[in-house]
Amino acid sequence: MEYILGGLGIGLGISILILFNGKILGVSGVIRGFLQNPVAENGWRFSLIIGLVLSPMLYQFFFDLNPFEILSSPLLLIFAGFLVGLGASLSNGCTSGHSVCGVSRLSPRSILATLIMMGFAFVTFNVLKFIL
Amino acid sequence: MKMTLNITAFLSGAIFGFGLLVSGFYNPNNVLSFFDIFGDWKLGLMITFILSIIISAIAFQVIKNRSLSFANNPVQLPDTKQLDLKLFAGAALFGTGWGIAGICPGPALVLVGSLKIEVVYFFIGLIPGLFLIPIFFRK
Repeated sequence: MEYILGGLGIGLGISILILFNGKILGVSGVIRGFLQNPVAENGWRFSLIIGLVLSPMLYQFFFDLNPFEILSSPLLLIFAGFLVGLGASLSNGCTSGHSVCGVSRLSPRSILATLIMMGFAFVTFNVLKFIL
Repeated sequence: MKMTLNITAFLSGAIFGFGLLVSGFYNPNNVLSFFDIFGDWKLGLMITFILSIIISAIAFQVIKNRSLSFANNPVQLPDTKQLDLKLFAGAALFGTGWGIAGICPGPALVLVGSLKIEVVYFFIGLIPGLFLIPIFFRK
């Protein structure tokens, strides 16, 4: 059930942004755009980021969140973040932009990017699991 | 007008965030178990992923032939078509980073609001990563 609600939420969030703002919801692009564009053009990006950041607080008015720990070491998190940022800027998209928006528009670029992203993630995870 | 667009963008982010929270997609441990095909494989996020694609597809179908959105803002859809080395290399690097920590940019912002302090380290890597390329290769 929670997986279905999750899909509805992600899909609805993307739908609102394209139907009203006319923009693709790609989080890496929004963060990048927010940091490099003048303040006057950044209203919607700022609002979107605030919506995402506040979502756990709003969520917890109504529901509980299961506690968990982030297990990766600080160094590994910095390295992973760097690869994710570099990769998203090179390929012009991340999970939201390519794998959900792009795939739903049947963009060949995004379908290919998604297969490569997931393939490398599967391999990396399992290689690290084997070594560590 | 501008205000409407800020409100819809906020709602979009908050509802997208709700989806990440309720499905557990924001929790890197769940994402990593989604990659753990030979171990404790949790396939549930696949349902979330597929359903979000179906719903988005309907919205993109509705907007496809419009030049203005329902709030009269120009509709901007990417029209890049090339399948080039940048796309392959970028997706491969992205997947590698995602496979290491189980965090991508959307969930990273939700983790900030969940007060998971460790996510700061992810951003210390992410932001220089996002801006490295234009410094070396001017478009």
